[in-house]
Amino acid sequence: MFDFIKKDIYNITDPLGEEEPKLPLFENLQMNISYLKMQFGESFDILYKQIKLDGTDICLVMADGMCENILVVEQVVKPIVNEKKYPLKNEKMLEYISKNVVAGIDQTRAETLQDAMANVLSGLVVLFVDGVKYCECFGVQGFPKRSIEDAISDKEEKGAHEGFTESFKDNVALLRRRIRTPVLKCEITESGRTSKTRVCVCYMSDRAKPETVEDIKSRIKNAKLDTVLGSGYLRPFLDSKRFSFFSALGTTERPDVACAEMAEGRVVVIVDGTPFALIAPYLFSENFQTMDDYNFRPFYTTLIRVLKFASFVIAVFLPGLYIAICTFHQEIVPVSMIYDLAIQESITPFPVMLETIFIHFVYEIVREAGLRMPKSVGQTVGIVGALVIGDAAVTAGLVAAPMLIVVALSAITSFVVPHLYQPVAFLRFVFMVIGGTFGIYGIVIGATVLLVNICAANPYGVPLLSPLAPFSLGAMRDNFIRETWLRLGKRELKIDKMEK
Amino acid sequence: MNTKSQISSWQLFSLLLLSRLLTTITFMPVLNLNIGNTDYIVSTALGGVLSILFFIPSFIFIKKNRGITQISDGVSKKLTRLIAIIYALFFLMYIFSTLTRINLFVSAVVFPQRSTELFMVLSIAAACYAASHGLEALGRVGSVTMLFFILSFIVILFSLRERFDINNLSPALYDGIKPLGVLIWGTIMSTVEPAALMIVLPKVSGKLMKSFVIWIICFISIASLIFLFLMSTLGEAALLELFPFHSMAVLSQFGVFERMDALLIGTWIMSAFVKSSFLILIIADLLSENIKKLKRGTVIISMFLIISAVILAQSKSIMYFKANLSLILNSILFLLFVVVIPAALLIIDKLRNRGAKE
Repeated sequence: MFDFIKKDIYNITDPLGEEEPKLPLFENLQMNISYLKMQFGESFDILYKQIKLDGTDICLVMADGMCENILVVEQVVKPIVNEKKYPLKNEKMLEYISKNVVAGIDQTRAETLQDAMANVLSGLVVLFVDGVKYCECFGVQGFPKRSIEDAISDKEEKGAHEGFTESFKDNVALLRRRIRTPVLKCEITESGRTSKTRVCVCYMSDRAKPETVEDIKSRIKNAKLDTVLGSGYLRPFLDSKRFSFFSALGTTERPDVACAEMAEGRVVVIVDGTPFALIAPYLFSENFQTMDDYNFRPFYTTLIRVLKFASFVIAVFLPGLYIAICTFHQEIVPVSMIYDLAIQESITPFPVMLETIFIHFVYEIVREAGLRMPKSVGQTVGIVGALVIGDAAVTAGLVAAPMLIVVALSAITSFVVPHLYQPVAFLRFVFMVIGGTFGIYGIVIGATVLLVNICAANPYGVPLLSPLAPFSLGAMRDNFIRETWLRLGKRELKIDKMEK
Repeated sequence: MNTKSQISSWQLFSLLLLSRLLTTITFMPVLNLNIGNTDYIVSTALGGVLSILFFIPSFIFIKKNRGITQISDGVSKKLTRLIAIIYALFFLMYIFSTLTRINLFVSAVVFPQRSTELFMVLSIAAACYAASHGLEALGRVGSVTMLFFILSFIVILFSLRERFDINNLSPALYDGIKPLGVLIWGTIMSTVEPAALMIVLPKVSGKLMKSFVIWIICFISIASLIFLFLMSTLGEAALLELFPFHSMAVLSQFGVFERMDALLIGTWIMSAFVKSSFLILIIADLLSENIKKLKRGTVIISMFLIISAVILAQSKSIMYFKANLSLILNSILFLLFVVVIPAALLIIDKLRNRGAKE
């Protein structure tokens, strides 16, 4: 529906026009250097080192801070300068340097000025030789980066204490270390017209559906973005085309989770400069699974899973249900309880719906304020907020005490499934308004619409709600419940349409 | 019609069972006074069994694995268009009938002191939104809703076990054979789901015959069980209530929770929502696939406007409501759309095939 409107909006908001054509390298070294200097301008960090070798002009170009200086000297400059027997022809000389002189395996050739510049900016040393229409690039990267640490947002009790970092090569190495098989493919593509961000698409070729892999690669390539500074930039391009409250893309900071997903036929997308990998396609039920589930004993994991599903329901529906019960359906709670509720609510000046929305609004403000503050200040914000909302508001008679229990419970339960916090926080407000306007029956209609919204999502041909709908008995063994590894180890538990 | 498989036979089974059970639980015995309560149980079981005779065309369609519009396509495109339009009108009537009962229920039980117009219009809008997502999504929603429906009934019936008293049942055939016959016919002609099945059949994959047989068994047994519980719990009082299933749920008690009617009404509204969406989708597909100029989105938006207007208008007129519940009108529609038109198409198809062979 409304495709014509979407097309118009897309045309208006398309930020980028046609991509500029790539220029081939000039034969004249000075012209190449002049072009680079013109493009880089006064940038202090782009270094040019011109040398004469047997009467031939050569030039090394690199970005200071992006390369390991010792490697540049030991692997590139010293061997080139110290070599005595260079071939006479310039082209042969460059070939000789790249094959026999420079040490190191990471070498690539660039034939256009744009590619040469991209390599300089990626931390490679680029060697131009006068009279040659291509240049050689040597990998000596050594930019500052964070060491591998515990995943900050995906904490596990018994899982590995290694998380992804901002360096995508390190991230790929973390995957390779866990799955040592040639079927693990890590293909690099670029995204962002200006930023030229490297994006790595990782998958297991014997499991991932080729059409899914191709679709993901093409979406990344065709993403009309100027800069890609995080995996979130690519998210809308890789997510379901139809609007859904729940994303069809997962995010993880953990290499073990990424490996587990790939082993089940998913594709993992690592964006350079981001410690969060994207997983596609990602099922709704996977939001309730963690790596610890497979380290704990099955009966305990099953209990935790049930608690997580219950927490999700509480987080979304409890405030709305509370409003609906207090406003319309007092009959469904026991008489003794309804008297207590009525007494508490009767002393507050606002209607229950307004009161609940207000308190949740304040809670979200306190949470948001505490989130981005330095740790010590964040804690203070939390304490002040808790005191103001909790004690003072009740004492002043602005809110009822049961309301605080509802807020606290829905707040805590929303953190049980952290991946779903965003839709949960939004839907909570929606159901508060529905519950206060139409009661439980409105909530039922709203919940059914939400169910339709989840059921309609079909990312990469896999239903978001599977294996519940469409139902798959085999895959249910690792869903609401978790069976022992003795059974889960068998690979026939796979979900329909997910794998090859 | 687009023949690409979109839902499994079990998902269609869920949609049809929800639709039929909703008809059962929204029945209003005040319209059939002077009939003993045991007769309702007997009529549900007997009516269900006898309805199989009227489903013979449906069985043949399933066996042929061809839908109504596919067979009519073989005769002429004009006939297909005509059939698409009259079936769309029939399903539209059926939506009105479903929503009329829900509207009455909402205004009488849910919000007796408030206007229900906004609630009904938003519900219709939500149903149209669901329909716009297509059969695949609705099939999945139907299977999940079915699960909730069955679970809620188990909870309610379990919570009523102490009130269950077989002595509340009146002797069977106490009022003679004629009222029982009327009730049996009422059960048969309320089962119009095979018409929907014959339309969506090309879009269903899996063992449809098996699913359809299980559907018949399930609706007969579940509906009979529901009536047994209802009549044994409420006795003759059930016949004086506007919505006896709601009255039964009011009596339920489970732990500290004293009234479970909210649970019943919740699943009830959920089922009505799914049923309406399913029917709106069938209408949209029928019209958009057989009339070139119509797009599915346009039909769905038009459905929203028409249904909302009619439901809002009928809430002010008891005459419309009476017409909707008319046994004669519903009987004609049932016979026409479940038996006569499909049978006629099958005969024409057979004659054409014989002619082609000769």
